[in-house]
Amino acid sequence: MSDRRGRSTSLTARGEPFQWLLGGALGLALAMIVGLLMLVLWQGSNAFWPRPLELIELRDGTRLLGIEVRREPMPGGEGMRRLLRVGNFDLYGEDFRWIAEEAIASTRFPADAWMVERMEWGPFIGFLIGLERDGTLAETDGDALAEAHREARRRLREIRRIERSEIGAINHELERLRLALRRSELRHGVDSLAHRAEEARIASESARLEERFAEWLRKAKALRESDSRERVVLADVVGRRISLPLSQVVRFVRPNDLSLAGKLEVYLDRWWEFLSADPREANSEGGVFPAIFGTAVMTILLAVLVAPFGVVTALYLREYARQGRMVSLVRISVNNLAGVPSIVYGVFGLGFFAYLVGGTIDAWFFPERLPSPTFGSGGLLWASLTLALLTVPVVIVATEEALAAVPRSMREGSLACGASKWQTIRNIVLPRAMPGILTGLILAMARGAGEVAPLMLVGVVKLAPELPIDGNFPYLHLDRSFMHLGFHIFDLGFQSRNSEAAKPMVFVTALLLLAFVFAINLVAILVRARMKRRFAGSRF
Amino acid sequence: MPSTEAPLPAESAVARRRPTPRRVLLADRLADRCIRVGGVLVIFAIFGIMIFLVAEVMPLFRGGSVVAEAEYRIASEEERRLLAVDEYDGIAIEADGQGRFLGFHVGTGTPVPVEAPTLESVRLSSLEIAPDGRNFALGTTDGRILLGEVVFRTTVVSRERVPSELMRLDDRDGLYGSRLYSRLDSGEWRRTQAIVRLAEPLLASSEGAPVLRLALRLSGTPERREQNLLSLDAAGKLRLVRARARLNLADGSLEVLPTVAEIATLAEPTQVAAVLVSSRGDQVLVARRDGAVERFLVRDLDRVQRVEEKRLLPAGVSLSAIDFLLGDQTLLVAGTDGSLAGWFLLEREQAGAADGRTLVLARRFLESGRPLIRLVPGQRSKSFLAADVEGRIALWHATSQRRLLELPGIEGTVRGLLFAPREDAVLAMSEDGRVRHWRIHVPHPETNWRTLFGKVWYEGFPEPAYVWQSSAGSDDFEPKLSLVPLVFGTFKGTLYALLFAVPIALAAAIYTSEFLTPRARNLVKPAIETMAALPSVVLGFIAALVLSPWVENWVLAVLVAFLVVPIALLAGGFLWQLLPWRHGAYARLLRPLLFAAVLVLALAVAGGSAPILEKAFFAGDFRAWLSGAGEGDRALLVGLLLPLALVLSWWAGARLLPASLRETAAGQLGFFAIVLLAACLLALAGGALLSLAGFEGRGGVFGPYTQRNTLVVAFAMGFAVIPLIYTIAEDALSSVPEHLRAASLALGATPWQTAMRVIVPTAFSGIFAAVMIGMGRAVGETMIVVMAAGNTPLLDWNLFNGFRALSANIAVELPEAVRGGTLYRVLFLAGLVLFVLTFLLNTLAEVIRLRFRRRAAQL
Repeated sequence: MSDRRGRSTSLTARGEPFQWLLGGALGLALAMIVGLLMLVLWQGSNAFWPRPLELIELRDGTRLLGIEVRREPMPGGEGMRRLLRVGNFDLYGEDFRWIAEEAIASTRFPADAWMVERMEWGPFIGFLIGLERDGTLAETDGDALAEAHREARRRLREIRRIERSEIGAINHELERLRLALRRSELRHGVDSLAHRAEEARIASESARLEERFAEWLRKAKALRESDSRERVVLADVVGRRISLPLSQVVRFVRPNDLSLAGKLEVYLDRWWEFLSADPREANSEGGVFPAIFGTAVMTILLAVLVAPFGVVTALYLREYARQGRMVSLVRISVNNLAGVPSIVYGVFGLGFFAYLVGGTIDAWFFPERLPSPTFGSGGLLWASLTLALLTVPVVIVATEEALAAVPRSMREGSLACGASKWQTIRNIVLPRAMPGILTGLILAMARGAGEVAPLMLVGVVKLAPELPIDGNFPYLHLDRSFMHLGFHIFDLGFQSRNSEAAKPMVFVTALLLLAFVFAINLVAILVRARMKRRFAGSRF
Repeated sequence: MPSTEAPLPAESAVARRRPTPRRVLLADRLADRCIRVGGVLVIFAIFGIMIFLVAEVMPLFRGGSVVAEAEYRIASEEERRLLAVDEYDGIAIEADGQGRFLGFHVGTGTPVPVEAPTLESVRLSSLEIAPDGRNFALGTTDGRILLGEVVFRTTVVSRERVPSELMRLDDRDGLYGSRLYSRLDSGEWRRTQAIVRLAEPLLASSEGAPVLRLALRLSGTPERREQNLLSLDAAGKLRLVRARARLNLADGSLEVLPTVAEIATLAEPTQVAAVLVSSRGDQVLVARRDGAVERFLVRDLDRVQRVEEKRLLPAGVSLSAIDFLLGDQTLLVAGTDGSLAGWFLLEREQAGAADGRTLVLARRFLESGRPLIRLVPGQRSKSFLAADVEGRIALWHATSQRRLLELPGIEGTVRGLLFAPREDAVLAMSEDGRVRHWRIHVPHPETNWRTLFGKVWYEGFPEPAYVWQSSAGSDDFEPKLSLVPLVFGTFKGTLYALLFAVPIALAAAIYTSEFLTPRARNLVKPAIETMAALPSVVLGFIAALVLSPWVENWVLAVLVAFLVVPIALLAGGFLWQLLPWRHGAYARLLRPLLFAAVLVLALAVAGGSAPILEKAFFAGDFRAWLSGAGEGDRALLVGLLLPLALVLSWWAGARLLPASLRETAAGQLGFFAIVLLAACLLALAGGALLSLAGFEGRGGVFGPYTQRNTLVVAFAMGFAVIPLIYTIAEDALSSVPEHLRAASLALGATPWQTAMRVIVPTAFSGIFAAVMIGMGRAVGETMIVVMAAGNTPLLDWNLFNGFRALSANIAVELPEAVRGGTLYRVLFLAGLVLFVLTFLLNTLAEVIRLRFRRRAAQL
C-alpha cells in the first residue's frame, strides 16, 4: 500500500531487521520443539530395527563381530573411530568396543551370524553350532530351531505360570494366615483360649496349603529339569563356545540374512515384547509392561480422586461462596498452587500421607504386619493422592472458567421456572460446563502422567515384583509400590550398569511416555473443539 | 438442549398452591451442605500443605526439654566419682578412692551389685574416662596406672524368663541380684548387668610419684584396640603409653602390650590443669592453670618435638576447664572470667610451629560470667555439658553455638557429671553425695538459623564457609547442612535458564501476536504449547544423554552462535529490504523459509568458525583453555564486549551518521555494515584495554568445564520455560484491545511502531507476569536439574560447572533420610523454602496480571 503513495514510509520505521530478529526467535523455538520430537521419534522408532552384524578384522589379526552403534572423530586426534556393540557380556566383561578406523583391515557381513537375545547377560553375538539334547550335540537348521525354541518357550511360560499364579496364590494365603495368627495374638493375648483355638485352626489350614505348595513345587521342578536338558550351543567370533538352555533365549535373529519382511517381523515382535513383557537385565532389556500398567492405573486413580474435589471446590467458589475479597484471594492462591513445584507436593505427600496418615492407618488397622509398613510407606494410593493435590488447581481453574461461561440468562431462566438452586446446577449449569470440566480433568491427567519428581518420594520403585492389580483379594492393592514410565526413564538413563546399552530403551520409553501424554492432550483438544462446535450455534 | 423437567402448569396459581416436593428441598439442602463443606475442606487442604511443612520444620529450631527428673542420695563416706552409665540409663557405676566399683540404679539410686575385681591397698589420685564412656584409666598415689573397661551386658529376654521374685525399683525397672530388668514397649524385657574389667597395672612412674593427670584415647577395633595414655606424675614426668590391647575371647581378659615414651619433664606439675592427647596419639597438649598450652608433636614414640606454646586466654584470666570435643578436633577452653571458646588446630602460613599448624580461635560461646569448672563432651555429637562453679549445668552444641538446655543443676560444687551414651540423660553428683538425674530430649541440637543459613566454621575447615554435606562414611562425621549453596544453585540455574529463555520466548510471543496471520498463529501457538506438555524427565534425559556430550564437543560453537545468530538475522533483514518484490504474495511464504535458512546458515557459520577460533585464540582446545591451559584472555573479552559494543555503536550511528543514509534499502545495509564494523573495532579496542588493565575472561562465569553443567541445564530448562512464558505473554499481547491497534495504524504508524510503542508498553505488566511465572517454574524444576546439573553443591557463577538446586537435593536425599531425623526436617525446610519462594513469585505475577487485565478492560 505504501508503495503506491508518493513518499514511502521510512525504512527505519518499518523495523524489518528487528522483525527478523523476532521471527528468528520464533523459528528457533519451533526448531527446538520439532528437533526434540524428531530426535525422540527417530531414535525411539529406530531402536528395535534389526541392524546388520559386521565382522571386522583388524590389522593385528583381531576379529570382532558386532553392531556399529555410531561413528565419531577420534578424541584429540585425526581420523574416525567406531563404537561396536560386541555383546557377549559374560565372555568379554564389556558390551561395547571402540575401534579406530585406521586399525581396520577388512569388514564383511557374514550371512550366518546370529544375534541371540537372552534372558541374562544381554545379547550373544556369534554363530550357531547346534542343539544339545540330553548331552548329545546335533546340528540344526533355522526351521527346526524355531520349532524347538517355540516349544521351549512354551515350557518356560508354563513354569512361570505355576511359580507365579499357583505358588504365588498359595504364598499369599500362607501370609494371610500368618497375619491372622498375629492379629489374634494381639487381640486375645498369647495365653488365651481363643488364641489357642485360632492357632490350631491355622496350623491345620497351613498344613493343607503346604501340601499343595509342595505338589506344585514338584511339578515345577520336573518341568525345570526337562527344560534344562535342551540346550543351544553357540560360538563367538573366535570360536569360544557357550551353551545355554534353549528356553533362556528370547529371540534368534540372523539380521544379515533377513528380507525386509523378515526385518519388519522382528521389529514388530520386539515392539510387542516391549509393550507386553516384564523388564529384565536391570530394566535395560525386555519390556515395560509393569511401568505402562502402573502409569495407567495411577493416572486413572488420579482422575477419580481429583474430579470430585476439583469440581466441588469450583462449584463452591463460583456458585455458593459470597463473591468478595476473600474469595478472590482464595482464587489467586489456588491459581498459584498450580505453580508450586511438584517436588514440594512430593515432600508433603511423603510426610503427611505416607508417614502420618499411612502410619496411623497401619497402627489402627494393620498392627499385625508391623513393623513392616502397609500404608506407612510410599504406595499407589499416596502417589495418586499427591498427584491429585498437585493437579487439583488445574481442575478448579478449568471448571470455574467453564461455569463462568454458562450464560447468566440460562440460570435465571431455570430459577424463574421454579427450579431449585441444586436443580439448576445439576440440570442446566453442569451439563453445559461439562466439556470444559472434562478438558480440565484430562489436562490434569496429562500433567499427572508426566510428573516424576514427586513420585520418587511417594511410591515409585525401579522394579516392582507385583502389579498393583492382581487375582488375589482385594484385587486392587492401593498400598503397593509401582513402576512408572517416567521413573523408568530416569532409572535407565542414570542408574543402570550399562548406560550405553540402555540408551535405545530410554529413547523408546521416552517415546512411549510422550505418546501417552500427547494422546491425553489430544483428547483434551478434541473435547474442547467439540464443545465449541456444540455451543457455537446455540447462543442466547 | 431438551428439557427433562415436566412442563410447567398453565396457571401460576396452581403452581403456587402446590408446595415444592420435599425431595427437591432435601436434595437442594444436601447439595448445599456438601458443596460448602467440600469446597472449604479442599481449600483448607491446600493451605494445610504449608501448615504441615511448617509444623515438620519447627522442631529444628527448638532447643531441648527435660522429660523426667529424679534426686536421691547415695552413701558417701569416701571420695567418689561417677564413672559410667549404660546406654539405656539403667545402671551407673562409680569408683571410690580405694578403687572399688559400686553400681546404683539410675532412676532411684538403689545399689546394684557390680562384678568387679578387688584391688588391694590402692589409693586413687586421678581418673580419666575415654570418649567412648566405658574405657577408663586410674592413676594411683604410688605411681601406677590401671586401664579398665566397664562392660554392660544387655540382652532382650521374653517375659517368661523374668524371675518372679523381682525387686521392683520403679515402673520400668526391677532388680534381681546383680541383674536389672527393664520392661520394653514391645512387652519383652531387657536384662542389664554391669561388669568392670581391669588390666594388669602399668608402672608409669618409676619414682613412685603419684599420678596427677591422665588422658586416655582409643582407636582401632574393639577386638584389637590401640590406646594412647598420657600421664603426668608429681615429679613432672610426662609420659605417653601406647598400649595395643587384645581382648582374649576365651576368658574375656585384656592383654595389654604397652610401649612407653617420655615426652617431657615439666617444671611445675601441680600447675598443670590438664593433659590431653589426640586419638591417634600424635598430638599432646599440656594446659597450665595460667591459660597457656604447650603442644608436642609425636611423630613416633622416639621422635617427640615441642612445637608450640600459646596462651588461649587473655592476661589475668586463668584456666578453669579444658577438653576435646568428640573427634578431638575442637579444643574447648573455659576461663575463670566465665568465657568459653572453641579452638581448632589448623594449618596457617604464619604458624611458627614446625608442623605448620597452630591453634586458632574458631568459636566463642556466650559468656555467663560464672566460670565453668567441668566440661563433658557427648559421645555421639558435638554436644557437651558445662557445669559452672555454682552447680548450674547447661547443655551446649558446639557447631550451632547454641545453649540447648539449662538444667536446674545441683547445690554446691559438681563432683561428678555424666552424659549418657545416647545423649538423652544427665547424671550429676554433688560433693555431699547427692545425685540428680535428668532425662532430656534434644531432637535437633545441630541446627539453628546460623547453621542453616549462615557461614559456619566447621572442624577441619580453614575458615567459615557455607557447606552442604549431609552424609559421609565415618562415624564421627558431622553433617553440614547449610541451605545457602542449594539456594544459590537454584538461583544460578534459574538465572542462566531465564537469560536463554526470556529473550526467545518474548520475541517469539511478540512476533506471533503482531506479525503472524491468524491462520499461522493458530498453527504456531498450539505447537509451542505442546512443548509445555513435555514431561521434564524426558527433557532431563535428553539434556544429560544427548545434549551434554554434544555440547562438550561444541562448547565454543555454542557460545559463538549466541553472537552470530542475532547478527545474521539482522543482516538477513537488511538484505531482504533490497529485494524489490518483498511485498508480493510469495514473499509472505518466502520470509519464514528465509528465516530458517538464515538460522541454519548462522549455526553453520558458528560451527565452522569455532575450530578456527579455537586454534587461533584458545590454544587449540577451548575446554583445556578454560581450565587454565594456554595464554591470553583477549579473544574471550572481545567476544563478551561485542554485544555491548554493537548496542553502543548502533546508538551512536543513528545519531552521528546522516539520516539520509538510511532512507534507501542499500543505505540501510551500509549503515548496518558501518555499525557492525565499528562495533568490532570497539570490542577489539575494549578487549585490549581490559586485558591490559588486568581483567581476565577466565574464572568467574567462564571457568573449568565439566560435562554436566549449567549451560546444558539452561538449554534444557529453556524447553520447559519458553512455552510457559510464550503462552502467557502472547495472551497478554493479544488481549490489548483491538481499537488501540487500529487507532495507531490509522494514524500512520507502521505495524512495527504500533507493536513496539503501543502494544508492548500496554501489555508490559502482563509480559512481566509471564516472566515471573517462568521464573517460578525454573526455580522448582526438578528432574532436569537432577539429571543434567551434576548435583555438586558449589558456590560459584561458572557457566561450565554444575550446581545443586533445592529441588534436586530433595529428590536425591529425601528417599534415604530417616523419618524425623535432622536431615529429614532440613529437607522439609528446603521444600518449605521452595514453596514460599514460588508462592511469592506467583502471587506477585498474579496480582500484576489482574491489574493489567483491569487496565486493559478500561482502555
